[in-house]
This record gives sequence, C-alpha cells and structure tokens, in this order.
Amino acid sequence: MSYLDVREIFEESIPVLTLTAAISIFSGFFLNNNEEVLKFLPGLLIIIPSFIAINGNISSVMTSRLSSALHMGLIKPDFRRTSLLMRNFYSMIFISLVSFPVLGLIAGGLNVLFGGGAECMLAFLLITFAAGMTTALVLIFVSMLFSYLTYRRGLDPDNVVIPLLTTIGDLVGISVLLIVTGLVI
Amino acid sequence: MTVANSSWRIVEETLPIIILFSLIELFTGGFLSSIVSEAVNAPGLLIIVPGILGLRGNISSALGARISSGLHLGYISANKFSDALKVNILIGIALSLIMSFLLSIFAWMMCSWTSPVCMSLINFVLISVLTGLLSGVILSFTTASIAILSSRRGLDPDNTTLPSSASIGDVMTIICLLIAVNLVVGLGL
Repeated sequence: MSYLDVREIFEESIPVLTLTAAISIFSGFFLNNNEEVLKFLPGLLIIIPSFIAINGNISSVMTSRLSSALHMGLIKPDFRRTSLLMRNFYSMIFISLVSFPVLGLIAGGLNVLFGGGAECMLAFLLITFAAGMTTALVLIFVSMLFSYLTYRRGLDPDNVVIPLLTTIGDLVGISVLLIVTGLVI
Repeated sequence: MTVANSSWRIVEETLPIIILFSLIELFTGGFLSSIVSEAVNAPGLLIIVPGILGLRGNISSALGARISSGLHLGYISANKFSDALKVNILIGIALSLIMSFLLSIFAWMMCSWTSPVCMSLINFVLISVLTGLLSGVILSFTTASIAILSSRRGLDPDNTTLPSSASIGDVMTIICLLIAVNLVVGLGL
C-alpha cells in the first residue's frame, strides 16, 4: 500500500459508508415516525444524542479492547468464558449501570426545565435505564460476535467492526428507546 | 500497554470520558429539538439526522486516523501545509459531498414509502448536500488542525484527534443542518 493512494481510499471508504448510510436511514425512520412523542417529551429528545453516544462509546471501547486482546493472543475467538473476557464484560455492564441512570436524571431535569411535568422524573429514569441496559447488552454481545467472526477471517476488528457497530448501535438505541417510551407511557 | 488489567481500572479510565462526552452531546440534543420544530416546514427532515451525524463521524475519524498515521510515518509534516495533508482534507470534503447526496436519495425513498407528507426530492438533496459541504469543510480543517497541533505539542495525535473531533463533530453538524434547512426552506425552493 502506498501512503496516499487516493483511489484506494475512495474504494475502501465508499462501500462501508454506503452501508452505514443505508442502515442509518432506518434509525431516521424511527425518529420521523415518533415525531409526536418527541414533541410531547422534550427531555427525551434532548438526551437522544447522549444516549446514542454512550452506546457508541461502550461498544467501541469493548470492540477495541477485544481486538487488542485477540491480536495479543490473550483471548481466543472461541466463545469460551475466560476470566479476561468476563472482566471486560462486567466492566462494560458496570459502566452502563452508572451512565444510564445519570442520563435519566438529566432528562427528567431538562423536561421540567422545558415545561414538562415533574412527575415524569421516575418515568425518565425507568426509560433510560431499561432502554440503555437492553441496548448495551445487545451491543456487547454483537461486539463479541462480530469481533470473533472478523478476526477468524483474518480481518482487523478495529477497522470493520467499530464503524458498523456504531451505526447498528444508533438503530438499536433509537428503536429500543422509543419502544420502551411507548410502553412506559 | 496492558490489556489484562483489573475491571476497576477499565471502569476508572473509561467511565469519566463516557459521562463527559454524553454531557457534551446534550448540546447536540438542544439543537436537535430546534430541528424537530423545523420539521414542520420540511417534513421527513428527521430521517436524515442519524445518517448525517453518522457519516460525519465516520468520515472525520477515518481522516483523523489517516493524518495521524501520516504524521507518525513522516509523510505529513506538522510544520507546513504539505500536499499529502491538502489531498487528505480534499478527500474528506469530497466523501462528505458524495455520501450526503446518496443519503438524501435514501432518505427521500424511505420518506415516500413510509410517510404521508414529504418534502420534495430536490429539498432533500439540497439540505443534505449543503449540510455535507458546510460540515465537511469545517470538520476536515478542524480535524487536521487538532492532529497537527497535538503533534507539535508532542502529543500522540491518535489519542487526541478522534475523541475531540467526534464530540465537536456532532454539535457542528447539527448546527450546519439547521443553517441548511433555514436557507433552503427560507428561499422557498
């Protein structure tokens, strides 16, 4: 590979970007179809980017850590529950357990600030917590699955899994958040 | 670098950054609520929001990673505006333009299939491409500047460029989208 092969950069970027753009349209569809819910709960709308960012960060950190461990030979891509794998898993779960309730409190506070009712506080905590933990669990398992499968095929999970997973994370995050909101209301 | 470290250490090093970034993203959320109000004049607008933010993130992080590698390998210099740097910035802008055009077509198709009211294809294309152009230019230069300045200060650009450009990227892109919608709708196209 030369340092600056313009054609190669375009050839490698455009397929991945097109795929992620196509997946992201479905996240957009969920947002567009729930416009009324979002207008009704201004606090929920304001935390959507943060909610997505937490999911994206958790799955990128998990994938990046798994990828390094795979490259260094510390984890084998065979789905066995080694202690290193479980430590990574529990750390990500713990981070989710702390981050989502914090976000729920912020959402409730913002909702009051933007003219919503204070009685929504508990609902917001419940929504961010339930939706956040569901999404985080799904993404942690998908991260493991994709990292192992790509590594077995000789690909570098850092390059392939991270962009794909952040896009899937948006889709899972937005749809689960809106479905859980519908259930709670 | 240690991989086999304790669970506590992973939490200690990761949790503060995750919380910090989610707080920065609240600004994006604030602008997103303005976008929702604008959606009355531009039905279907919300469909492109996740896509345009996602593309921005993917294009800038790849750009940041390439410039960082270039600085490490020495074919991009931290002291002059080298050709390799210019070409990389141009690639970032070109990819933004191509992908935001494609995204607007996808969004228009999704809107026509699933929503009773949609703005015209021309409006989808104009809003998305204008946002792609504005945010592509601003963020390609921002990403390059962060990488170059980090390198001049003796920091590893790989560690600083990606997280900082990602958090600035979402806020800037949503502001660009707001500007683009107002221009396109305001001009009555």
